[in-house]
Amino acid sequence: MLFLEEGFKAFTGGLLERLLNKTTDKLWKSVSFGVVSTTIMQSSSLVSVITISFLSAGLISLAAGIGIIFGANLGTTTGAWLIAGFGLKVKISAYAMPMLVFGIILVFQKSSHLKGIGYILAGLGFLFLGIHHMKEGFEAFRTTIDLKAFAVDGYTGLFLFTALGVAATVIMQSSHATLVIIITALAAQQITYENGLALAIGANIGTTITAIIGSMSSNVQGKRLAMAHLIFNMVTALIAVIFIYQIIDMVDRFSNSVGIEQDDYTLKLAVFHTIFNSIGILAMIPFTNVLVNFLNRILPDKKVDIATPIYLSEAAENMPDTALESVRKETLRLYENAFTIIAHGLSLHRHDILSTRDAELIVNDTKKPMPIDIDDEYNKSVKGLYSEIVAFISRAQAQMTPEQAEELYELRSAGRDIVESIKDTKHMNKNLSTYIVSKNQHIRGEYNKIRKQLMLIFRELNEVSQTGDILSLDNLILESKMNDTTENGTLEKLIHDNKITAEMATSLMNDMSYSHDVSKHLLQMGKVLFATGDIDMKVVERSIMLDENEMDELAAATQK
Amino acid sequence: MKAPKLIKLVKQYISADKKKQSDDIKCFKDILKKLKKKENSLKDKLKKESDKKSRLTLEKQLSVIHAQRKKGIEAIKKAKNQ
Repeated sequence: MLFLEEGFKAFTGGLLERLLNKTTDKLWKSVSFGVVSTTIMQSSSLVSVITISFLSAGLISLAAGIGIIFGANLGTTTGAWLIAGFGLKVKISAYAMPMLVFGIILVFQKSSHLKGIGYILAGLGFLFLGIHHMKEGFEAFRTTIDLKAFAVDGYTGLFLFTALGVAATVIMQSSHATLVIIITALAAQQITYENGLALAIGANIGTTITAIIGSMSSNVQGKRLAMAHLIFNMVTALIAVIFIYQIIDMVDRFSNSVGIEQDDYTLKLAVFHTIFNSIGILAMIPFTNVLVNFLNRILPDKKVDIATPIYLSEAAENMPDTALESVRKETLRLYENAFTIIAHGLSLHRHDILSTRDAELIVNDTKKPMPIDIDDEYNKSVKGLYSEIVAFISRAQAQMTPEQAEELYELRSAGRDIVESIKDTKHMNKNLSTYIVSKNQHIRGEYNKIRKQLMLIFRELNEVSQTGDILSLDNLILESKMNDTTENGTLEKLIHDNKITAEMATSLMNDMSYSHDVSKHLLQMGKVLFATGDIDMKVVERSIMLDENEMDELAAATQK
Repeated sequence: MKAPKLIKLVKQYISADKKKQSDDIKCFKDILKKLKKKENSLKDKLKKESDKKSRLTLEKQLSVIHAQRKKGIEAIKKAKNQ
């Protein structure tokens, strides 16, 4: 099972995550996705852990996550069919060895895809070999030891074997492994059919342990999902235990109708497994919203400090695309915090910047500068979060392909750009606070130009964050290049005409340079943070954006 | 599936570089298509616009898109020649 999980992880590389993202907007879609993905991967644990990491990263809603878990429970029942229908009927050990040989050879290949195929082959090989050996083992027991002597009848037996099923699955952390044991023991007639069913019910509860362990390192959303998983499986088990005889009757009738023989208990167990999980889903789906509300109530959101990360969880670390998305979302939070600091550093209100009011009017309206200790604000709302992001990145990159690592590097640079823009704002804050209320209208005008220019950049960034059209950021870069007071002769004219003092001029020159840096860093960050689509698209889009030289040429050509 | 076809498929799968290249070209083409659409809509706006300042802004935006498209077309040519 571990090999299978490892193999499918190699293929996730975004595919599974992209699918998850697209197919979870409606409950029926989430359930179907859970069924299909678990059927293909033969591991409800892997699907639930990925779902938890997705939920922790804020990529899907809790209701969608619950839908996937419901579906995964049904999908995992195909495992029983596979083992009972195929594993016991065909001499699968004949396939096991070649699978293992090729699997292990492929595991040592460089290509991650070949490695993935290798893990899957080896995983299936070990599974087939395991089924074969267990079958042989129980056959050997048959003549010497009769485990059937330990069979317990009635509800006592039901509860006892359910508990045994829970314990076995918790220890092995795989309901599949327990099912293999149950089915092979059943085939060798070492346990009674009823006790086999109870073990299967127990295995269904025990399998939630992987999700519970997986959620320990995740945020409250992940914990809610693990709890939902446990509640669902407990309720399903309870229904199965209470109505066991009715369900057995249903299994018999279904088996008769599809031509399963009366004494083919292994296939009947597979039928039972599917029926009782289907009943569970049918019983729980109408209560999904009630379950979501209940979980939100018993596991409330903790009040998170703005400097505490909310998307970076250990669960997301091992899923490359989810890790990338988590870093992007957390860096967006970093940007939000930085936005407030920079806005106040420019003596502007966030709501004014994001409004549709005329920018010129807003900057001219300033009657007094906003008092702000940028260092203190930086330490309070940016430094801690930035450090956490950097630490997460260094842990997550180990699992990534070169392309994903490159994207992670871009995101780290975006974080640095945000921090740099705060530092540049700090440098110009002192002069800006003095000159925006200066009696000299010329210097006041020049500093207001800086503020207006940065305000427009924030507005454009806000728009790009919604549209994802990062290419339009080039318009802003061109605009700011053409409005550069130090380059277009305005500054010289102001000094020459004695409209500003030499001291004012040097301050303005320095601050123009800081302002230029703030714009550059913010636009650079915007290119990375607001780009949508997959990695290839982002890389290509960024490569089309104009570089410094191209922008200079364009600015020169446009000015002519 | 016949053997030669299967071998071709496996070859394609293993030569990831080629696949990556064709994926990149597809991305470039997608973006160029979007840019062309944007360029046409800006040209239409420019035709209707009489205000000098707004016309200048539109012209600047058009020159940016033009430069970006030129860069994209060159990148496709380069990728195809490799």
